[in-house]
Amino acid sequence: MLVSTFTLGDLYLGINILLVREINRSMECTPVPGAPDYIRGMLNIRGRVITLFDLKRRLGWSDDEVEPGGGEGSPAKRKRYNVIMKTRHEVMRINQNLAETKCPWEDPVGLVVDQLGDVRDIVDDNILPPPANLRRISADFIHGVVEFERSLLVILDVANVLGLGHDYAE
Amino acid sequence: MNEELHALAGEIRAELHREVDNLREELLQVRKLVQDAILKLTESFSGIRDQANSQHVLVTSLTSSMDAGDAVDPDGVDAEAPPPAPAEAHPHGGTGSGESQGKRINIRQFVAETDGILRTFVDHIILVSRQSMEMVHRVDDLSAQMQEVVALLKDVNAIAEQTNVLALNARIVAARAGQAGAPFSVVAGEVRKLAKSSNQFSDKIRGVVTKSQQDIEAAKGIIEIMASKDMSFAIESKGRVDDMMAEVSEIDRFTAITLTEVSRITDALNHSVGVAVMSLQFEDMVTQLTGSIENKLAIVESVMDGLSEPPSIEPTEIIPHLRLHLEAQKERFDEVDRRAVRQTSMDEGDIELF
Repeated sequence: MLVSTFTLGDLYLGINILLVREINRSMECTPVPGAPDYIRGMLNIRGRVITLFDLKRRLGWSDDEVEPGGGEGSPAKRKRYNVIMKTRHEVMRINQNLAETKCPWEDPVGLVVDQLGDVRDIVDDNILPPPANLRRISADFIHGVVEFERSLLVILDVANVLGLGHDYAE
Repeated sequence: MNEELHALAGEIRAELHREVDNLREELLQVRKLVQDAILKLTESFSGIRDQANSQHVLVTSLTSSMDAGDAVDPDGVDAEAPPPAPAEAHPHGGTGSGESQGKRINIRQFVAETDGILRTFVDHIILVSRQSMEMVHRVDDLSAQMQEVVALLKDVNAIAEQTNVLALNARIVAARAGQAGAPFSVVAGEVRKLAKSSNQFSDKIRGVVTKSQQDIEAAKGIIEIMASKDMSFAIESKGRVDDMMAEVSEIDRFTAITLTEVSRITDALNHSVGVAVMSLQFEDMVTQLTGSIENKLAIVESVMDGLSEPPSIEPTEIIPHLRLHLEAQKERFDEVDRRAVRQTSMDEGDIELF
């Protein structure tokens, strides 16, 4: 399985590359009034309106962890990246099984992350279940972990992250 | 009786002749003494006059050499070496010695020249200071350009980063193509490596540029200190030298005044010596006076001889004879007196020898 990796604070995270549509530099987005705080806003990319999730807030991090270094530098100026996800429809065209099991969302969504990593080829057998004592991230959001060059790569369960875990189970 | 008188007269005459001879001899001695003394005095005064003239020439050459103006003494009079001291040396005629020394400068010219050299020196230092300040500005420009390089490196980093994102997206696209996209994925991976090394490269460049900037700042500081220090030192030195030059000028002026005074005194001395030499002309009068005394002595002798004529005349005729004789001698005396010098003082007459 190919995994696109990135960092969030000191966490090393990864997402199945088949679920990723594209990655781009973080840009100004339109806030959505009344939405939960982990919804950063709406973004228009080439005519597609994308809902941006602030992954840090979604994991329940505090303000200091979301914006390290206090108020220094506005969030807009801080270098971030948007990981835009494919829609269920798009994944369906590539891998029907994957779409049915891992991709319940119909609308275009994106995750805001800190730094980009690389593309890693992970052997499925090496994927371990989430350890109980993993801090800063709830086990619900983890698909599995891989020990990688003395660091732990956490592969995200995007459906749960987006809060759609129960919908697609049916 | 007559015989006896005659013999006595003869004795008296002889005694008088002896005395007159003595007188003559003494007169001769007086004249000789006076002549010797005058000769020596004249020589001595001539010597004094020569020395005064030499002194005058020396002083004149000194004063003329101290006069500001010409760079070279027109007469070529050497202030240091004593001139040959001719009796009638003209003050500005100099010695006329052929040893024209080419360029010789006096104190005033020395002061002026030193002042000029120092001014040039200070001007040069000020110029160097100004150039140093200009260098500081240039260094500032250089620093600004380095900042620009840093900014450009940021752009390079941004491009590398964009390339990285692009490569990542390429791999995402390749992944969708499955096995068919594998070669494309390799290419994308290489592009990403390229972007990464470009990033490292620009980081290294930034490190070098930052170090250069620090060095440039240090150099700028040193140049600034140099520029300000040099200027103040030069101006201070110029002031001190100006003071010294003023003192030297004052000393020079005082020396010139003193020399002028010495020259004046020498002139007065020369004049006094001239008067003294002129006064030595009394030898002539002494000679004439002694000559007159000798003549008178001769007359006295002849009177003596007349008185002691042999007694061939009758005693009754002796008195008229003697009276006649006396009259004749009186006339001779008058004659001698008329011829004698009537001058009684050196101030009379108008003798000008010089």
